[in-house]
Amino acid sequence: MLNINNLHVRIKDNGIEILKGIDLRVNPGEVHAIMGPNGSGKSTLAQVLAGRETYEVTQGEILYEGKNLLELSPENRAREGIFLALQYPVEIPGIANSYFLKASLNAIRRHRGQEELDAMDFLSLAREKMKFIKMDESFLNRPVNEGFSGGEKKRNEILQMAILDPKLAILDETDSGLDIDALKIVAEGVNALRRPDRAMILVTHYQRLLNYIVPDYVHVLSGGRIVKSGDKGLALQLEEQGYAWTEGGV
Amino acid sequence: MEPLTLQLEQDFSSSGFSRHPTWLTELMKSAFVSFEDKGYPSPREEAWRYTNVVPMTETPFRFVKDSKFSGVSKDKIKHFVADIEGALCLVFVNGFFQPQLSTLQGLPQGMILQSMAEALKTHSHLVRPYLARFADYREHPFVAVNTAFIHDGLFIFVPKKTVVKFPVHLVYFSASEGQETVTHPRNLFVVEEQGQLQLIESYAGEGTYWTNTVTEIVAGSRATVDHVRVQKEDLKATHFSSVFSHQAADSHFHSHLFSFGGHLVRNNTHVILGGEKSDCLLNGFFMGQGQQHVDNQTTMDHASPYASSDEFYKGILKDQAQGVFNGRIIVRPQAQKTNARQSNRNLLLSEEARMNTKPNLEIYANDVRCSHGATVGHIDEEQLFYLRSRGLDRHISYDLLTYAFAREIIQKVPLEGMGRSLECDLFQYLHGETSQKVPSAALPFSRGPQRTV
Repeated sequence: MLNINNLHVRIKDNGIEILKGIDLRVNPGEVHAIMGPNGSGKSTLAQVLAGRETYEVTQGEILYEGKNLLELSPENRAREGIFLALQYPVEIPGIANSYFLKASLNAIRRHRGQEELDAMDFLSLAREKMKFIKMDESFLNRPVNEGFSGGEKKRNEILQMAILDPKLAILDETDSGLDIDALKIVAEGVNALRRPDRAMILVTHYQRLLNYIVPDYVHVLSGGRIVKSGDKGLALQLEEQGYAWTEGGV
Repeated sequence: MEPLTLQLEQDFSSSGFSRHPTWLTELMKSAFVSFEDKGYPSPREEAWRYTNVVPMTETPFRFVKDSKFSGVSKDKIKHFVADIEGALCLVFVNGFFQPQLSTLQGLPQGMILQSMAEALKTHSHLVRPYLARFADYREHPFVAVNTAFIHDGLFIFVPKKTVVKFPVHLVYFSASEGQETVTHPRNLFVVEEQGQLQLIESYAGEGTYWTNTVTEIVAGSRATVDHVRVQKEDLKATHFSSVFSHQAADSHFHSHLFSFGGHLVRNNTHVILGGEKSDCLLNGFFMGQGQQHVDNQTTMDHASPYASSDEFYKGILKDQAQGVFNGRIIVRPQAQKTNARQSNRNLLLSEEARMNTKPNLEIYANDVRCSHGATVGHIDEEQLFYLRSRGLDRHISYDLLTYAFAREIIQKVPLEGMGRSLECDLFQYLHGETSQKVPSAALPFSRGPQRTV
């Protein structure tokens, strides 16, 4: 599904290189966790996959379902089934959550050759998904993320994921800023969205999230490179020994 | 001498004061003398630093006194009337009241609603105490010109404890018909103790003309006044408008300004919080494109203790448009426990658009809470990416964020029907389709996402 080969990425504004040769292969149905210390490039990788234009790919390639992902605009990546849950979901005063979600869903449905949902059908779909992640319906009428608590924002991201039905979901630090109850709800939501034809990449600093969403593979990113890969046991080892242990191995 | 000055002098000397009561003639003469003494404002004056009036003084805008107009039909006016249920609609063409184009019924008992021309004849005793009391023509040269040419406009008097259930909608339409003309609409709204009134003032027209309007609003104690100004003048027109309000204790004055049209525009709002615990909301949105120059001046004069004021102005500028915001808050020594907030945020949609914003606080009391902030920026890249990462086209995301920016101001307008009408206006001006009604399906918010899905 996703093939990243020797990916080098720098920040457009200042030319600082963040990713220095990433190789990663993700198959349908798999859940990959990408862990690493602050500044290792985890979030950069997530943003580059979604098409953030503040970064520049200087070397390497990303193939998604056989297509050159780097040639696609962010909106076309979303329509092709890529979804990024942001670490810091953006507030958009003046646009209602429902309007945003319905417009997004219909843009994606048009691209897939499906009929657009009308207001009634959208509402019943949204209600069903909100129930499933224990989100109050009133959030539909509120402006996108405005005045939401940290946990509510993250839950709103998972709601979007549930509605937009992606093939590849990238969750960037979805656990950060969540208390244990909120974390459980979000994790339950994510687990329920696991499917044999859907892949997920979890970007996280802490092992904690992986107690609730158990990954198939764990990769450790450090200094812009993947320095270790393994199964879920690797995450536990990291928890015990800290990131210094992996850096020593480079 | 400037062509405009010559024309003003000529028109003033032939105004025919004989029909006016003496006090009015004296007022008009005194205002004209004040204008002649002071002359046009210079860019050296702080309030006129970013707006140059020299080019407009080259045009001899004529004051037309007869009110015989052809070619302005009810259909044409309809386009500028917001669809508000039950509103009384008063239409003025080239500055003069047109009863045949207006709807007038169901006034509460005791309420007086008359054209200014009529009121000066029959209710002079009610007009006189307030006319030019708060609109200081010695300070403001164009207010002086307006005062010197007082001829028509609207007078409303709401007596004690009277609640006017229907909004009053004034439509000022100018048709310059081949020559450059000027109108000086003069409105006076007096709402006595515990009275309530909702007003909409709309300005529109065709051709090259100058609207130089002054509105005075007097709110008695515990009175409530909502005032919406919608400026959709021809893009060749010059529009100067001034609103002066004075509030007694516990009164509420909410002002909403929407400025879309005009080539050279100056919107001035001057509020005096004259009574304890009075409160004022100044809500403003302006937009400029092409070569438009839009200047917004506000003065919030806290003259009494325990009063509060909230001010939100937002602007969107495209192309080579220029915008100005000059927001002054004065807290007088006696105005302890004042609570004043001011914010001006501006969105630039091009590299050439320019915005000058200047908050200005003069605080003479020591126990007050005042805050202000101003920003000038472009569409937020993070918001843009967020929308695109959910599958929305770049240009749709861009438009959505632009609407959302303005919508925050539109949503504060309390009148039902007005918000929708303003969203149509915003759509038309953003897309350069100013001549026709927008099909509702084209509007991103036509189904009211704040209410239903």
